[in-house]
Amino acid sequence: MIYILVLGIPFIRPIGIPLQISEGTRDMYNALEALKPGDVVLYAWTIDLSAWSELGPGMVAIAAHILSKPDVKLIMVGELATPLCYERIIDTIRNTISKDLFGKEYGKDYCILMTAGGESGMKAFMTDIRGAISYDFYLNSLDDLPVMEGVRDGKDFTIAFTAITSAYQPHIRQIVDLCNVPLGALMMGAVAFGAMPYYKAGVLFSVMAGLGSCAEYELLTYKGPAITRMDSLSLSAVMVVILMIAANIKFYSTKVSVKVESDKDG
Amino acid sequence: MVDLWQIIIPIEVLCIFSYFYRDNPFYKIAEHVFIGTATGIALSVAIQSTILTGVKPLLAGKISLLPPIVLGILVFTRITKKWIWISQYSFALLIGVGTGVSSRGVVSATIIRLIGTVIPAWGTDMWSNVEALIYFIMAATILIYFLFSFEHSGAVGYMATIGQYSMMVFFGQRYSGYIYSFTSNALYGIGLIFTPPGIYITIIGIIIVTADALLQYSRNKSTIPEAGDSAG
Repeated sequence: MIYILVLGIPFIRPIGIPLQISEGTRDMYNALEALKPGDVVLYAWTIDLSAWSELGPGMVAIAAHILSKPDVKLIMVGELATPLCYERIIDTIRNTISKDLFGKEYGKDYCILMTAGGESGMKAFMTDIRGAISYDFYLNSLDDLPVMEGVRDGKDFTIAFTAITSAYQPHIRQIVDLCNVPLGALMMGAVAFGAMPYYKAGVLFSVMAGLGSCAEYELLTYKGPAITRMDSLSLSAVMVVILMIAANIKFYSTKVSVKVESDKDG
Repeated sequence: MVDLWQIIIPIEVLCIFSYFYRDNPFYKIAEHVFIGTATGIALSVAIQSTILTGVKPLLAGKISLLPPIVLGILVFTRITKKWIWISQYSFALLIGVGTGVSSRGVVSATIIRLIGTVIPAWGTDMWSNVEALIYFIMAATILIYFLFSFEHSGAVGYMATIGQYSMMVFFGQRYSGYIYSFTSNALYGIGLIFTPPGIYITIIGIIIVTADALLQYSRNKSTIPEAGDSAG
């Protein structure tokens, strides 16, 4: 209870702990900043709403950054509840960043697609989009969407982005290896460090880790909720360290006193 | 105008956090609402997905979708003992195709390319080389730790120990990563209950909890027998 109350303080009175932009966030920003008119971005099989609280702010900031680029197409594709997450991203951008969505229109500049079948569906989509799916999330035929003109398979994408909580290998296999599309990923803090070898090897052009990276991206683009939450997150790290030290001191002092007592008895 | 969800969500969050005080009906309600909502969304999304990616294109004339739809329906034969064997064909195809699809790229994307990160490229950047060397030592010693063909003694024993410590570093990092992630997730809820309009609901919640604690205290005090009562 005390932990929650302490973490709540920065929401009432922000502390403003400074943030340093990490290498992975910088790489993602530079890659999206370099997008040119006519480029097509794949927003690929991200999380559904389950990890929204950790990765949502970053997903919003990145989608807004892509949409802010003139004449850049955004194709959002996902499975099961993921399209609902995409709808929320678009709504959040409209409500907090740009009311007219940077002048972008559904169907003309961006679209939401839905696949099925896990990695098999992913492969089918990347191999032949119209062979895998015929309609968008709102049951419009793909042939009726101007945004899909000239986009036939995975090789037509300039760059891809994903936000995931665990299994990133299918994305690497079907996007990077199969179609040679550069892929950047925003990951849950717990799994991001496991993906670092892929980043170091250049398989992923960027790896962003958790809420911290979301806040960094917001700092580079549009200020949002992650920056506020970072004060609390930093405070929680300090609290965890203090509690660990206190628990260790208590543990060793108890151990010493038990030993002294047993020596006296012996 | 205040969005109704800005009131409902903090109430739900507070009900969940009330478990820290003690198990109570508000927590139970929130728990049931959460499970019910999640199940409802999962079901509606599954139906929508089936219609969107299967039924609708099939009705529009995409006959190639007929075999997978039939195989999907056959999975339901698992509910009868007599016809359960039919579902095995669907599962066999599912597992076979899944394995085949995921096998492609395993070697090139996740093994060959990663070798580059653990082999130091001397002459580029000193720190990158040191990093790569550490990766290499850790990867090699962890592999040695899992070699059970010979006894872990002498040099092999030392290397296996380094491997063990390397794994401990990884697990420690993983554990801290989970704490980081869970705290990040909790902060979404904490943010809602500490900012308007959630803060007003939090104040009401604190008043309720304090009143309950005081009531509990006075009740306990009145039920504790006086020292002389039991003797008399």
